[in-house]
Amino acid sequence: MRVTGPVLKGLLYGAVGYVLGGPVLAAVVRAAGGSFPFDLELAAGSVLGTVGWLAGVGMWDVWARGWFGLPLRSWPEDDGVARYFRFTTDHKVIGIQYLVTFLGLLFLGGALAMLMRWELMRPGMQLLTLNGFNQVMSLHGIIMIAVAVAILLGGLGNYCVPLMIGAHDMAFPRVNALSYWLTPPVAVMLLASLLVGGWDSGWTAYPPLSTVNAPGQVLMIVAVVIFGLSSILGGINFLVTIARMRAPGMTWGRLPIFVWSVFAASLLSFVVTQYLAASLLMVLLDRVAGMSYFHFARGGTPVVYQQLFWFYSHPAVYIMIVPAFGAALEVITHFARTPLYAYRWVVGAFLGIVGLSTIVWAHHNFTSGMPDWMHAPMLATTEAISVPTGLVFLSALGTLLRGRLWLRTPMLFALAWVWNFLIGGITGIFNADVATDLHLHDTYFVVAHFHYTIMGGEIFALLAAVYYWYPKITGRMYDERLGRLHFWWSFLAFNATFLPMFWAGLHGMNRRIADYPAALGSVNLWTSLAAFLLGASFLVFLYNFVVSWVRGPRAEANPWQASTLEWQVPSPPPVENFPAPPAVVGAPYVYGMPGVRHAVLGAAGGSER
Amino acid sequence: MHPAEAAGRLSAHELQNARLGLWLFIVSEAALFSAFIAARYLNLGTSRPEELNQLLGLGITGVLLLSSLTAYRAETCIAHGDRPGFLRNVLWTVLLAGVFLVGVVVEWGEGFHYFPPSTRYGTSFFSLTGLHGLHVLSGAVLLLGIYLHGRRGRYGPGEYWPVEGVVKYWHFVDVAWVFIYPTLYLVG
Amino acid sequence: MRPDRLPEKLSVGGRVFGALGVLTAVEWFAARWPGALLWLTLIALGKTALIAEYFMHYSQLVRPEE
Repeated sequence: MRVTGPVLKGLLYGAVGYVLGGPVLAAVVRAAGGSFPFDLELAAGSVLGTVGWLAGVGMWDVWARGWFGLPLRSWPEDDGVARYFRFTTDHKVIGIQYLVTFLGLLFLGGALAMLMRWELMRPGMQLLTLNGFNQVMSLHGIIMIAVAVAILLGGLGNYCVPLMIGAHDMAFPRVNALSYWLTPPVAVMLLASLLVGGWDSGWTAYPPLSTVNAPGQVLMIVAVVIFGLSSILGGINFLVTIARMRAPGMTWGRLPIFVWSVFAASLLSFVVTQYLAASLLMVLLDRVAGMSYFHFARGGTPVVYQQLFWFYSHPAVYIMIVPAFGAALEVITHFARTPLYAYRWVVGAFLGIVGLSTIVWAHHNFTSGMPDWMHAPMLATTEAISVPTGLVFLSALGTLLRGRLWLRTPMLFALAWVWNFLIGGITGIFNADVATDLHLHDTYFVVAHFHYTIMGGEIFALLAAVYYWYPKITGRMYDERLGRLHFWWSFLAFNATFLPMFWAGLHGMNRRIADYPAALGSVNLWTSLAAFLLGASFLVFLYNFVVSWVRGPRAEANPWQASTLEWQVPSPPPVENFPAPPAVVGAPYVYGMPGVRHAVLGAAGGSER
Repeated sequence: MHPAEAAGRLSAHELQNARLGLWLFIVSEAALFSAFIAARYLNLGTSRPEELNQLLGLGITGVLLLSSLTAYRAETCIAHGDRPGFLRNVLWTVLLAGVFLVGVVVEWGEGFHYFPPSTRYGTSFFSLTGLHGLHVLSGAVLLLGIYLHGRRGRYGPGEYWPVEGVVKYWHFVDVAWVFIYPTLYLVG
Repeated sequence: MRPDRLPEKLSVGGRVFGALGVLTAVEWFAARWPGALLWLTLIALGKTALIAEYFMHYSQLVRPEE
């Protein structure tokens, strides 16, 4: 009970909240003669259910009681594994909570992909119904989007950023805990949507379909809006933390590049996420309040949804990939044993990406009937974004050229990131170009492109980062041989899966479909077999991740002899991280410079923070 | 958690953190409103029905502006140690928030008749005033909380971040209306 | 912060409120001018600037004192 108590209490309060806000409220309104559509019942119930869940899991005890003038309750700071199952404010606990939760969701989303590939192995229908395929495809999409947004920022960002800037925690530890504990209801709602018919409109939820389909769509909308709130609060927390919690001497020019990437991604996410919330709320209003934003029969304009939706959802890919850039560059510079090449240009590139990414959204709409005059400017801005992205790439290459490479598992995955992202980036040009996109839109060419950028780019950088920080986070060393096996297996299987998809797309294989012409049979069979291999490679990772955490050899404080601050404290770091604020005296990457230091720890005369 | 925080007081450093965080939250909220305002123009340009109650719209706009003044006075009073002035002005702000909400409800009653939510103008009118109304309602609840805490003598000079935060949020609710009012009532 | 500065501070609020009222009145007429959307946007931005600076103390972010 000590461990599971808060979660059980959260589930209980959540269920009570759902019943009160949904069925009970609906019954009362209907008894009074009003109308209360089932969609509204679902929406109101899940919002109140989320509130109940938060209260039960500990937010009431450690935070909200104070709003009513009641004394707060607190748990012991060092309470073993129980800390991971309640509203704990330590950023390291929250980082691990995020990492484990979203790795679980990554595996779930991967399993759904396996299901789709099984169905697509041969022409005709094998395993799923047509509607079932749509539901699986939609669920795979939204789960993986959530994973891509939250796993690096929420997991490794939370764990590492305060350590890397020499802070004792995030600026708002309780808001940080809130950000995390908002995410389990999101997962529950997405899965529960299958009980009320699921939804078949993909992760993009385009109207007019999404205004008239099964009630599962409502749960998806509420889930995504709550997830958006979580990432907005997380983004604000990172911005204030990085702006104001840096150790003495940690100037902006001395920040490790991963910290910069988290800052840039947060700068983007805390504003643009509201446009996703707004566009989905409009769909919800069409459904529950009979409004006419996008409902075609009432005179709505579905294209407006696409404008608002992509005003978030294109920047969102940079919310995903910019922290991956930071993580990959971090690993590359440490394992090349040389300072990051063109550090300032990379920082400029991150900020350039933030700016440019807000004016490229309509390249998703070249075939949707938006005004013609928007085509050319969006083509130009989209292609312009390859300039800052190219700078990041050149920095990686420059660092590799000047360094002496130490090919351990993290570095291997970072090198894979270079290759995968190169292909993802170059194929993006064809999607940005109006003329070629008219042919490529909604084909597997696009599927291959975004899997190369997000899976090949972000997830491979994530794996590099997970292996890199694994000894710091767990205090144990992973198995290097299994790590290398995972690398070669997943890298080869990944490319074998997604390279042929470009060909399939060029030859007319539509995305999001459950069946296809027999002529595309052999390429799909190959893709499916490679995809199963790719899925299986993650079992090696899972085994290594879990078994090493339990039985791996104890890790030293600094197994990579890395120069940044997180490696100068024990593995895992103690509560509050540093006995006294470290004094930062130089650039973050001091390799090949005898006598030069990044920071002095335990310095006398450190102030209270 | 730091001892100062546990006691409900913020150090100067934490106060600045909280201020920056609240400002960022406000910017984020402004983005939400801007999306709904943008949808109004994208969906129906600047067209506007003749049946809008212009006098009522102008009236509630004035009421909300006035509530910003009383909120400002409340914060300034507590910063200078004038507790009775603080309590009086918070109460005025809550009252004006109530008047504003009553005005919106009256306008909704007329709106349901002339431009129901299923029409294109009604869609934007009801969602913008509804979204804003929810912010007014939450702001009023927070102000009431500040008032009740204040009556028990919780705030004083140099120790009034909750007041400052709620008042800033309240001013933001006013700013949102500064844009919503011309969008719904004046253009076209 | 000396208490005797309170009336002075409160009168600043009164003057800002007056300016906001004048801008609202101008807005009413600006809606009928050619290019109304531009004028209304400019006036709304002006009102926002007044509220952000005098009521919300925007400059506190860069100058912590007061």
